[in-house]
Amino acid sequence: MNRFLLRVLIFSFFPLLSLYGVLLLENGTADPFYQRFVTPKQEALILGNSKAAQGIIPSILNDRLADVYPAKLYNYSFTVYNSPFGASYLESIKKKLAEYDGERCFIVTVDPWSISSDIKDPNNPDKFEENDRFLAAIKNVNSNPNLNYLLYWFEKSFYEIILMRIKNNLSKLHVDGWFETTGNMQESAINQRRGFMIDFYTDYLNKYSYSEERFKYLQKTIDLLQKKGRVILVRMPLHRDILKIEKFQDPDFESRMDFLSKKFSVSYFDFTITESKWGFKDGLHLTIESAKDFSQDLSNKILLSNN
Amino acid sequence: MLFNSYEYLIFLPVVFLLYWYVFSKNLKVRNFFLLAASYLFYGWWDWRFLFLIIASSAVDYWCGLKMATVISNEEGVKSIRPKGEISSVKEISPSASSNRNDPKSKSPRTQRVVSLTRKKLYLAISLAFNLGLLGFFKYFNFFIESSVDFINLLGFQANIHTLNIILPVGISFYTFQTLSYTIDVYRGKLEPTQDWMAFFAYVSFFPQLVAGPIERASNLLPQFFQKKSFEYTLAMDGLRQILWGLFMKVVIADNCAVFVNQAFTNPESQPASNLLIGAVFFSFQIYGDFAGYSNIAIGTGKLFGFHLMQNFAFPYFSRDIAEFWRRWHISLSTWFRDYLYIPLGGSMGSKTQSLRNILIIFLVSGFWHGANWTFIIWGGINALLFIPLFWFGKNRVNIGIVAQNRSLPTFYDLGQVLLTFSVTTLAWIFFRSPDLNTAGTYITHLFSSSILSMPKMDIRVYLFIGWVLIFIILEWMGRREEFAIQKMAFRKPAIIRYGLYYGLVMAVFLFARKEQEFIYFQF
Repeated sequence: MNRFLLRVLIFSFFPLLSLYGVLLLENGTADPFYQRFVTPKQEALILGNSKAAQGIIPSILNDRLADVYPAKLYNYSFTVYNSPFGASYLESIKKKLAEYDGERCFIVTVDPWSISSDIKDPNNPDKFEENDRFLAAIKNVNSNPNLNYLLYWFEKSFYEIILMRIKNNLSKLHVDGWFETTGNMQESAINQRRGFMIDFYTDYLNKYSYSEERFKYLQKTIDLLQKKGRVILVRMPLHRDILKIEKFQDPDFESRMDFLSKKFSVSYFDFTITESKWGFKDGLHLTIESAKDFSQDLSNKILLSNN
Repeated sequence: MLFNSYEYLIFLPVVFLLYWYVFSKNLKVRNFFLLAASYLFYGWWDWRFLFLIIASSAVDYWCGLKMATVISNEEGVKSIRPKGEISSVKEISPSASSNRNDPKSKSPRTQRVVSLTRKKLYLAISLAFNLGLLGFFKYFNFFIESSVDFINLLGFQANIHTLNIILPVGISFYTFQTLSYTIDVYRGKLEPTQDWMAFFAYVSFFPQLVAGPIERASNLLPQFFQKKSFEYTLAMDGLRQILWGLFMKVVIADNCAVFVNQAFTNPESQPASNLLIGAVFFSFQIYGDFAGYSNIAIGTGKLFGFHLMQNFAFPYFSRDIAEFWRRWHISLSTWFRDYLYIPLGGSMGSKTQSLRNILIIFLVSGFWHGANWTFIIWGGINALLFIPLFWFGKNRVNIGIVAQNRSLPTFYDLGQVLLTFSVTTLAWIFFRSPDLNTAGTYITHLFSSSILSMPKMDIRVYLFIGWVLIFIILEWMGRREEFAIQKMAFRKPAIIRYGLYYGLVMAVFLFARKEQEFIYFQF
């Protein structure tokens, strides 16, 4: 028996070591979220859903804002499915946030979906849809490798880590948390994707409704961050057709943001009014070029509003 | 709990260590521990359905005991347990007869009639209970829906509501396993056990509880009365079999499934070349999934010192459909042979009766797999493929292993193997399709001119084709053994052998997808 156990243990060591080596190869090309859970605690965060994850490039903001806000921003935005405002996201933010003595700012992106829910009673936080997803499940968001994520939440098989290194992948999660993704950028392909998004969010209209509880969690998030630095509320640019849907979803959204802006004395930048300036991959997410321009514009606005 | 889950990765070593280090000394304690571990294993999925297993075990244990009171008046009991062990399960010799010397007894003939009637009653209770469970949980909605369809077809209106019934995992397997016990006791082939714990542990033995092999009481139950000491060679063999089973399930079946799902979702919108690959991949998916599970089950049994029956014997190297059915899901095929085909008369009657029996057995086998017409048609197709062989007396031509003494098959053998694989693959289309319409669409589009077009495939599909080819080569090399890698590279230097195991383990690690259920859990 002892001989058996010893042999098994010795043999197991080699494949486990090799697997560990493969996991270290992951550079953000195989999984769209994993890298966010292997980086250390961060000094300042950009929060929101996929619009922010793809549209705000922290490295650009960090360069531009370095003199005023030396704390490095990190994009900790996920998706409308995973990171609407609620207890799961708030707790995860607390775990990701490092102590920092200098000046720092936090960018909190908002839209009607991030304060809505598709459950029967949208004001029952115990039933929030993200409660059984990875932000709620992962207790340690700063460990490398992150076994909990790898075992239960890594989207693909691990061979994809190697395959994506060889193959030219269309997306990459950068070390600063920016999720760079591209695809066929011909007009017809963009229109097709936008059509799909319009259908998708029109369908959401029937399922999602405004959640007072989520709005409270947004306030708790602002409250938490405001104690540590300056909070800026941002509404990301959108194609006009999708904006119409969002207005249907929550006609009072702007007044809610005015309320927050006044209550917490925070800046609110609404970029939906500058829609024509930007290029979209699908009416919702900015193209890479527009994400760069947008990050510059956002930096300028922050600097201007600081004066 | 799934074999390919992280929970099982913890469960198995813990149970293994406790079993050998703590509980193996005392038989009763050991069996209790195995029973508890098995119930935990099953309850992990849904503890409520544990009551069904307990009820099924209790009913059959009771029926067995009641039959024992009838049998106790009879003579000719022969123990099948190993020498020197506790009396528990006994096989009864065919010459058993009633006790003619008992002065209180009625006439021997009357007594035999009474005994037989009582035994029949207890058998009927066991059959009614187990088949009743199966009928309710698995077939209730099918019968209701089919009746409604039929009534509507006749022009009448019928709106009968079906029930929202959850199919308990493994119900088809453990009910058949317990039935084999009561039927064997009834037939006088087995003396009922007096040890309820051993019997309950036999019914729920976790390695084979949810997807077989469907063990006969005469093989597995006596093993619960044997003292066991750890055997290094057997345990290593078990580990190798588990590794091969995991490779079949995780690398072959689960990855083929991705492409198969795409092919079967919208067959009408895909080129025939894609459908062809989808159908071939499904053949490997179902084999990898089910034989993989069996290998893990048998290998796990070996870790605990138990010998479970071989369930698959390289079926895709069969040279005709009759050989295929001797090599595919052996525990079910032999179950149907012993408890349905032979009681119906088998091949002993006229040719017409034999054909009827063959048809019945294949249709019932199809129906056993699921409450859907697709399974019945699948069974029917296999019957139609089998019947000509039977009719011309060719069903037992290919008994041995293909190319037994050669490394490569002859062209004739290869042709036969490919033909058998092709017709089996064609039949699997019905098995995989959610309904007959989809199966019809799939086959219609499969035999279209676009079969000559280049398939539209992602780079991953080429990768999986590579894996399937490696799998076929390894299976071919190991076809003379119980499972492919059982003795592979034994005569080569250790580094090559361990290199093979290392490669398989890495393949399992790297190609595992998120926990995928075993297909046969639904049956």
